[in-house]
Parts: sequence; structure tokens; C-alpha cells
Amino acid sequence: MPITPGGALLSPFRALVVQRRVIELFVARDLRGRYVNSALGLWWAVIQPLFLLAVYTFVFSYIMQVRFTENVDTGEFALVLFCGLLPWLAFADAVTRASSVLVEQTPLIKKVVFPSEILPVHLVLSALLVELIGLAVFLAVLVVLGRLPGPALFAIPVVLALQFLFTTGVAWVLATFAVYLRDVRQLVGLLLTLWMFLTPIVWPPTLVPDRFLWVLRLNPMWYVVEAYRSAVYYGRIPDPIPLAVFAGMALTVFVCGYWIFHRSKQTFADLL
Amino acid sequence: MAGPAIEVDHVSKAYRIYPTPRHQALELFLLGARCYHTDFWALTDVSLRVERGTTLGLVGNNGSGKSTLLQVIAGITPPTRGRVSVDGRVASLLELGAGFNPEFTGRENVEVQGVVMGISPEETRARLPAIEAFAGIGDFIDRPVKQYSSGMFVRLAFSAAIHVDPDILLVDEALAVGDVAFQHQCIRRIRELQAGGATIVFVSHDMAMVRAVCTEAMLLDGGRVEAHGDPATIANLYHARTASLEAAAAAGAPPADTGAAAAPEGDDFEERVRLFRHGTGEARIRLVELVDPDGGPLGTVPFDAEVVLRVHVSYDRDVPVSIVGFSLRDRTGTDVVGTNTHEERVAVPARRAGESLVVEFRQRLPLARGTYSVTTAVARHPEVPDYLDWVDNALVLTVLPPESGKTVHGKVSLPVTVSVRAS
Repeated sequence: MPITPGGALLSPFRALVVQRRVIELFVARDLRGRYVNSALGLWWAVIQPLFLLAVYTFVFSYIMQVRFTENVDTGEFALVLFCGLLPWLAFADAVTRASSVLVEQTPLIKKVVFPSEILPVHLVLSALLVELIGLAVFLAVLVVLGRLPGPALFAIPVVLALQFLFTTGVAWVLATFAVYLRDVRQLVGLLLTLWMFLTPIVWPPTLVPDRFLWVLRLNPMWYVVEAYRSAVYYGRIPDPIPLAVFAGMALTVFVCGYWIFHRSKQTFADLL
Repeated sequence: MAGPAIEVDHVSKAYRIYPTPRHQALELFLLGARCYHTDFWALTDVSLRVERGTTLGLVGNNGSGKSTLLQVIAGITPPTRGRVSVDGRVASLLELGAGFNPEFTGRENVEVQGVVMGISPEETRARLPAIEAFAGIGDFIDRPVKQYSSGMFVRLAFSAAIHVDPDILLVDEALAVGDVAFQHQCIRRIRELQAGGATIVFVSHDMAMVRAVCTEAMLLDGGRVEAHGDPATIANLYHARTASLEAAAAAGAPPADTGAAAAPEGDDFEERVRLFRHGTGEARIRLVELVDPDGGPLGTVPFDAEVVLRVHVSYDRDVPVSIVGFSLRDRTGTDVVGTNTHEERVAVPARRAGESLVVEFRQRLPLARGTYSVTTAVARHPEVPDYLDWVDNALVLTVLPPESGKTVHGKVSLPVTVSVRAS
């Protein structure tokens, strides 16, 4: 691996390009694995978001009758919530699974010469693809409700790409740590719960007093949730400056995550 | 092409052993300020040069470092000291079916395995017919791997791994599996690879195999190279060592395998053999028992005792002609004795759906001491491998050493007359 700053920056991307066939195959395998041998198959990817949406609407809009913010109607609480929930669930799913993927795939690491860096990557892609299906279902629901999504939707692929970089970086780091310390798996579950409630998903960011705004700004997932809300629910093109900040965070996490993983991967076979 | 295929230069490999995972975590957090681990040296100063086209057999007792050496050569784990260089496409067969997903079909798993070993999906697809033919598992190739018998799993995994046309093939005891016919097939394939100029390193406990296949061999002991030379010499050296080890063990402790029950009692036969069976299901082997000639249950089998192997078969369809047979395998999976009703010229009567029968094979077992597994099968035709039911590991039995104290050389002791006269 080249030591030059440019090389270090590019090497994670190069690794992904070189291993794209393995990644493709593993993503396909994982997607199939999620639903294989279940009667409804891939329809589960459609049913799950629909069901969630129905439950949230029932609980928040009809039973609790809460408003997200003053200018959002009670009946639409679930819609605003869902904008944030979709990317969060993909992130949580990928990160949780990444923290145990190396342990689960021990034979691949101990018995075969295998590019182990793709193991966390394929989980992230798989989670994002499931999110895309959920997003399509969600958009269909919005159309049925008479809310036609606008051109702002074109911002979503950009956000998705950044999400991929960020999530993959985190996944690499956690996968590495979990090899040294199995407790990471349990810890990740707890921290994700905390992180979710620190992110304005079920509550509006307007609740945060100004002097604590910096906490929000440090939270990469806040940028993601805001971008989704803006592009999908409000139909506004997301603010470019927060998006650029998030892009910087995502790239840093991605490159550092790869570096940590790559430096440690030689020892994985001995530790597992 | 110049230079050796594999060069191992003064390689040592240490594993860190921690008393508990907590100590490992502590050491990690203290950044090495305190040291809780002890080093275990799996390899010490091993040097080795493997020229192109060589087949090297690695032999040694368990824990002698053979597998670690293979892992180091494969590049799976880095050496603690020393240097390894390998020139060519490496296929490592350290574990059969590593990364197979039981939910997926054989075909899909073969494809994944190909990509894992560095072969494009297109190339793997092109090789599939050859892989299928070699594995010989028929339509099972399109069924989820979890439905396979252990034998089928091994056959498929092995044939997938060995069809990658590597420059360098590393095999870890994988050949000691499968039935005899399959082992012969594997040896043939290895000879093909040898003829094609491949370099092969393989670990084996089977000295006959080492003698037959290798061009050189190396004996490891306690992580060090004990001897390196021609296969026959190394095999003899290994035999001499294990014999002395066994003698020491025998002197110290009584044989552990006396008193073991012939059939696991109270064990539901159907449930136990579920993973070891395949066949069309037109007939089903309900139970396999081993009894003495008076019909009494048998624990262990004394050397050369007469025993009766009783196979209960029920038929789920009308089957006009069928053949019932068995085979006794030793620990390494080699068939030692076996026969069937066709060979013995005994006709099995036609059966209607719902009917059943019992076949008894009565014979002496003058076998070397040890454990043997019984494979039983019901077939339609002696030459066509079209099995109505096939059950591996239907029964495991233990044969005791001869009371006379005689040693059985080889696997079977046949009657012999020895005469000596001056000449």
C-alpha cells in the first residue's frame, strides 16, 4: 500500500473496485439469504416498511395524536418520522451485523485467502438496497396520499453515496474492534439505542436549544436525517453546506476506517 | 519460470495465549504496559524450498505445526519471524466447504467458492459441468446444501476446490474423507494436476498416500523440521515414531474403548442418521442392529467373533427387485469388508408398499482393533448407483484386540499357515 497521502486516500476506493465481483456476489447472496426459503420472499422488503408505517400512523396520529412540529399535521407524524427512520434503520442494521461478521465468517478468514475487507462492505450495500426498497414503498404511499415528490428527490442518490461511505467506515472500525474484543457486539446494540435517541428521528430538531446545537452538528446521522426529510417530505433540495460538512465527515470516517481495518487484518486469522 | 514455487526462510510463528478474554482486553487497553499473554511457538525456525512441480507431503503428529505451516504458506496468517515467498496462483484446501452457506444450493455455493478463490463467476460456470461430474451427487446440485449427507457435502466441496487449476495447491488432510471410490478419483485428479506441472503441498496421516503421491516429504515435530527427504524414508521414520508413542501409551493406560455399546441405546435411529442418508425413499432402512449368533445384544465385538448384522427395511412403494448390502469402514473411511444380497446370490423377495423385511448378514470379524462404522444401503440394481436408501454411520462398533495378544498387521487377519524348515 502506498504511503503517500494521495495513495492512502485512494486505496479504499481501489480495494472496492478490485473486489467488485466478490462484493456483487456477496451482496446478492446476502439479499437472497435474508428472504430465502420464506414463502413471501422479497415481498417482505415491501411488507415490513408498510407495516411499520401503518403501526406508527396508528399509534402516533390516532392514539397519541402528536404533532411533529406546529406546522406538521397530526396525521402526518408517521411520514416525518419515517423519513428519518429509513436511513437510520439501514445504518443500524449494517453496523450491528458488521460487528459480528468476522466472527461469523471465521472459516473464510482462517481457512481461505479471502479479501476480508469486503465482508463489512457487502453488509452496508445490502442494508442500503433494502432501504431503497423501503424508500420506493414510502414514495408510493406519498403519491397515494397526493404528495407528489418533486425534483428534490434527485438529491437522494448523493446522500446515499455519502451514507455508504460513512456507514462502511464505521462498519470497518467496529468489525476490527470486535475481533479484539467480543464485547463490542453487545456494546454496539446499546450505543445504537442511545445514538438513535440523540438523533432527531422521533423528535424535531427544533426542540434543541441553541446552546446545544453544536451537539447536533457533531452527529453525522443528523445530516442524513435532515437531508431525507428535506428531499422526501418537504420536497426541498437539501442545504448544500450541511451536506458538504457531512461529505467531509463521511470521507474521513471511510478512509480512517479502511486504514484501521487494513492495518489489523493480518492478525485476524490468529485472533479468531 | 525461474526460482522455486515456495520458499520458506527461517520462519517462526508464535500465538499469544491469554488466560481469559478479559486479560486480552486489559492488555489491549493498557497498550502493552502490562503483559498477560504467554507465547506459544507453533513453528520454530522452519526453512523449506519447494521447486516447481514438486508434491510435498507434510507429516507429523497432531500439534506438530503442519497446519500452521500451510496457513503461513497460504498467506492466511503472517509469520512472526522469517519470510515466505510464493510464486503462482494458490488454491488452499484447508477446510472443505469453508464459507458454504447451508441455505443455498450446491450450484450457488460452488459459484461463491470460485469467486472466493479468485475465479470469475463466468469461469466457474464454465467449469460447473466438470465439477458436477466429479462430485457425482446428481440432482442434489440444485438443492440446498443443508439437505446433503455429510458425504455429499464433502464430495461437492472437494471437487469445487480442486477444479480451480492452481499453480500451487495446499491441502490439509482433506483427502482422508469420502468413500474409497471418491478417494481414488481424488488421487487421479491430483495426478492430473501433477502432470500439468502444479506444485502441491499436502498434510496427511496416511503414509500409504504419502508414498503413492508425493515426490518428497517432510516430518515436523513440535514445530521444528525433523527430517526432509524421500517419501518412503520419511514415512518409515513417522511409523517408527508413532509405534513407539503407542507402545508408551499402551503401557501406561488400559485401552479406553472397551465396554462401548454397539448401538447408541435409546437413540432414535431415524433422527440420528438423518444427515447421513440419501436415496429415492422408495425403501427405508428402519434400524440396523448388531447381535451375537443367539440374537443377544452385543456391546463390543471380540476379535474374530461371529456376529449378525440385522438390517430392517420397510418399503413405501411396490418394489419388485431390490438388493440390500452393507459395508464396514474403518476410522479413515476405508471400506474394510462388505457385501450385498446380490453378490451372495440371495434373492430379496418382491415387496409391496407398506411391507417390510429383515436381512441378516452373519459373519466373523477378524479385524484389527478399533472402531468401525457400518454403511447400509438398499439398491435396485447391482451396477447402477440408484439407491432407494443409503445410510452412512448406521452403527458404530468397536472391535477388541485378540485375547491371545497377537497383533493384527494391516486391517484384517486372514488364516495363515506358517512353516519353517532348514534349507
